[in-house]
Amino acid sequence: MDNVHKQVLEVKNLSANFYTSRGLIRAADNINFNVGQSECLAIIGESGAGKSVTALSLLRLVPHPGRIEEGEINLEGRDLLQLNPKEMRRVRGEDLALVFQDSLSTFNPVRTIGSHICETITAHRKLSSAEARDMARCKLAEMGLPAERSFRSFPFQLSGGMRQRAALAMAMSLHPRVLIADEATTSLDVTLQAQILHYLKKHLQECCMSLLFITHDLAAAAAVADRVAVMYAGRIVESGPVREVFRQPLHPYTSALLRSHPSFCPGRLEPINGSPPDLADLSPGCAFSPRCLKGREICRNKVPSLQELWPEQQAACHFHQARKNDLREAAVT
Amino acid sequence: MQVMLKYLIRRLLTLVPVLLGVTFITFILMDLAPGDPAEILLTRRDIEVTPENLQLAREALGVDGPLPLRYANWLLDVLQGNLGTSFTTGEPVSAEILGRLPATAELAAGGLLVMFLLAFPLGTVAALLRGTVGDHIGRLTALVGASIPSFYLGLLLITYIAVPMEGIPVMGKDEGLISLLLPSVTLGFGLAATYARLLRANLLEVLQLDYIRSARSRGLREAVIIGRHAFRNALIPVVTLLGITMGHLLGGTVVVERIFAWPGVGRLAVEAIFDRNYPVIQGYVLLMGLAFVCMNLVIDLSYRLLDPRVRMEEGEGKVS
Amino acid sequence: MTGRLLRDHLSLTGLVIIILIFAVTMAAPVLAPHDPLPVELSERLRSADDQYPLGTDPLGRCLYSRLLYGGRITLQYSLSVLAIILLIGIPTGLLAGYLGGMVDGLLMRVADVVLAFPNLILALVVTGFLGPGLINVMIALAVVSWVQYARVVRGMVLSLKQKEFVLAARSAGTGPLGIIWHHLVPNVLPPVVVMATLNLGGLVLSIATLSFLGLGAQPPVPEWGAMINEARNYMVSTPMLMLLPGTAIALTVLGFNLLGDGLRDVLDPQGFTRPRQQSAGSSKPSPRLFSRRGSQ
Repeated sequence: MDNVHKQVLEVKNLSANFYTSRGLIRAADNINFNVGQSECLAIIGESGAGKSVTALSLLRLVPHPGRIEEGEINLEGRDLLQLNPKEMRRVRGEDLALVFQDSLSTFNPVRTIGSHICETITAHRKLSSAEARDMARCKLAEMGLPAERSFRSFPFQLSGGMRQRAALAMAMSLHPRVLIADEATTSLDVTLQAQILHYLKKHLQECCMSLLFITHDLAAAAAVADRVAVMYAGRIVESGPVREVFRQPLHPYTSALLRSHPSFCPGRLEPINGSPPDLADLSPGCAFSPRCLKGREICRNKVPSLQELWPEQQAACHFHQARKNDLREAAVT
Repeated sequence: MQVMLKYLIRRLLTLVPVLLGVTFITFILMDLAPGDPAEILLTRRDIEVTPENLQLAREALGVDGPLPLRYANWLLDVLQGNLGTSFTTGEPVSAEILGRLPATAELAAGGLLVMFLLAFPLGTVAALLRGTVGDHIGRLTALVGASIPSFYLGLLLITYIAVPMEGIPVMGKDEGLISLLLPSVTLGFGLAATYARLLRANLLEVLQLDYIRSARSRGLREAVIIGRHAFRNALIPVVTLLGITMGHLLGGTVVVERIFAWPGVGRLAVEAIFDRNYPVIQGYVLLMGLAFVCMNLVIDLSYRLLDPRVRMEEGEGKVS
Repeated sequence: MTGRLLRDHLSLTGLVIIILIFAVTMAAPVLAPHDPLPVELSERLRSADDQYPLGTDPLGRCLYSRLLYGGRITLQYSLSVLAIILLIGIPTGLLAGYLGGMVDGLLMRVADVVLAFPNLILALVVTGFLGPGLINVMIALAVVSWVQYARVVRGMVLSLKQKEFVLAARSAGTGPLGIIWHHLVPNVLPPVVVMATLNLGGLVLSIATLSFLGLGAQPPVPEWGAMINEARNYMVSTPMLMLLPGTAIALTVLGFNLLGDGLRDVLDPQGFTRPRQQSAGSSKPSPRLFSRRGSQ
């Protein structure tokens, strides 16, 4: 329906593996998604589902012993995986900016907030240090922080909320094309979170920025995202427009996730059966099959592929793929 | 800055009991010495040992009367810069020691320089090459280096470097800066090995921290990340250890001065020990104690400059 | 992974070195072919042969025998100093930490003052006042070193005192001695063993250094540091005289250091014996990428 978005970030078949003592871990397995201009894509899933690894892969910062195996990361037509390290460095912070969950570990404890923002600016722009300082103060003020004081503060002198806003100001300081927010609002209290989400939403339109919003907080995702991708055990199991996915989830994991969340299922919460998967020891079939109520023979033996089951809505589930025709018929009638 | 000043004053106040203790230990050492110092003084000066002369000598040395009184008298003398006179030369001890002090200071500075020049590059390179053959060789070298006694290293340097190469001075300090070379290396090498190991471990720890990843995600140059972010933070624990190192450094000067006939206070002290020249030994240990205390004060202050978290513990609170 | 493996190899190497050196030097009376003391000027500076496995020194004494006996003396005195230090340091630290108050305050002031001097220099000066000799070196080293143990033990006791098992024992009516003996001592000992192992290397170095300066072992007693001092005039012509005892000291110290580092990983995971230092970065442990909750 809403196809006016120009695609800014296209990720194709991205896989990142970790070579650990316990064996190969496919932390991000064949990931595909697009983010359009001024669009917000939320990646949701439990911790350990591979969301953060996906985010770090986009910047090519997967930590040792991990490695990006294959895929394409097209940012406005440039494949980031083909860039040399120097070109990649210019992309980080300038075109693709990342905000982490824990703002205390975003900043070097012995340097001021201001020096962090300034060095980010001067790493990419030829500006005098006075100009960089003005720009940094401006950005801090934009986030509703007392510019001068927060500029001179050390990270530990700010409250968590202020620090997270400062981290956001730093990420936004160079007007990145895509902002990756990795659980960036999770640790904040509700009112502050709402403020920041509102600010981000406004910014997407004004600055033609795109947002990759990574979270396990379904409510936050519903509030800010245009589309969502649900990750489970390193794979995307469902994706589509936020309203469709939340109203009519196709993958059993998505529906189970929604049923376990108070905002979407008031009154009768149902926890998900079983425990999160061990990535080093996945079943050969659908990773969710051990916990799935609808699991059958094929689910345990064959990995389902992500298929479009509904206009713009895709899911990786044998059960629904088998019923695809039924679904079509249901839609017509 | 006011916070710093307050801290400095508080720190100086806590030094008072330590300094009293240091002087007291120095003073009480004299009582440890076998024999009567007054008698030793008289025989050294070829003065006849008579009861009257002994009494005069005791008064001159301040070794009569009850202990607290003797200590108070001695301390008053020390505060006026009077450390007594050398048994052997009859010169004031303070003048003898101060005359030798610059040579020891040069040597200590040289040793410190060698330590930093070796430890910083080696520690950094080993951290960046982590896990490679070079890293393992470096670590083994550091382990072995830290185990070689400095007097042995000094003799090895003389035998296998200075003698075959000729022209590298090994005795005294008459040939300018070059005569400082081997003594400094002898003094600094073992410490460098320790510090290279420490710096490597700290750098590796810091490089794993999240803010380094955050710095990478902002597109900073690797040199900036290591130089500005990793190195400074890795240095903080190194600075806290410098205090202990200063002790090793000062202790090391004694040995090095003896091997290389370096005309410093350490050699003076060893000579004084063999001559049973107690006032000089006493002056030496007092001086070393004071120097060590001052060095630790400076280290504490620089530690606070490096780490704002400690600096701001008290005083400025959170920004609200 | 390789780091860990290498470390295990290294500490094992340290153990082997220490055992070998101990075995060889303690068996000196059996292994040594000659008496290390009598001077035989006619045999001076002989090179190695059947009679003298490593040759003779400038006074015609068997170098091999002197090396063995010298190591025996170095190690015996190092161990004796250590024993004295432990016997003074551990009880003082236990009492100061457990009793607190005046006793603790006094100990800390004394510790501050002793630690206000560079270690080796204080030992040197104490020896200077007592007069040269191995016994005096031993006393001097004990005087300057026990404080460190007392301080570390006190620190551990202070933190142990807050632990539930001590509080539980106390509420169950266990007396102070019972608590100290049954609850504090067993917890204090492992880190002290680590510290002692690392310290032994330092003591060997100190004794050798003071003997090298002429303050420790007096001629004709063989001791590694003193042997190097005696070898100084011959270091170019007969370098073996210096190389053998020097390498022996370095090996011994290396062995203790390797072993101590390895023991530290096993016996002192909390790092009581590590040099006190502020953590370099944030105090939080870095989060694991893969937390394996509930598996296995």
